[in-house]
Amino acid sequence: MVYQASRIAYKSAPGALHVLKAYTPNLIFFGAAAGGLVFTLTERVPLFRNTFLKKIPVVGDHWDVKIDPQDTYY
Amino acid sequence: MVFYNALRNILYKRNSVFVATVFTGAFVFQASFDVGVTKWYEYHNRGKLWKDIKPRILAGGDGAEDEDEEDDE
Repeated sequence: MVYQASRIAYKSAPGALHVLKAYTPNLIFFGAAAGGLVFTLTERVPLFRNTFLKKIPVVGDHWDVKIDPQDTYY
Repeated sequence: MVFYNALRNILYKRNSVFVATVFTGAFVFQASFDVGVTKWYEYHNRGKLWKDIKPRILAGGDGAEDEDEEDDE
């Protein structure tokens, strides 16, 4: 019987960081997409309006609905 | 053709960019559509809206209220 002793060929794995680095632009854009989705779906939610949408610099007034106190119950 | 190539390279090539464009576009569109439709509606119904007739009503009306009272009786 031939006894064969072979060495294990070690080589460094790419590592998670390498993968993460390659995906960074995609992750950034998907983050922006998620933000856009949240903004779209919660546009009518008063808490979200008051917290974020009203404070958008130029167009924030669109969500700052001013109703004469005389014309509303609230 | 150049236009479509540019469109593909900028927008469709990376799915994350495409999805982000769709969602942020939806957000911008729903706000601008709201503004546009409201503007058109208020122009189309100018003179009939509460904000137009409110000062007149509060000042004592133009006789319309009296007619309503007669109708009720």
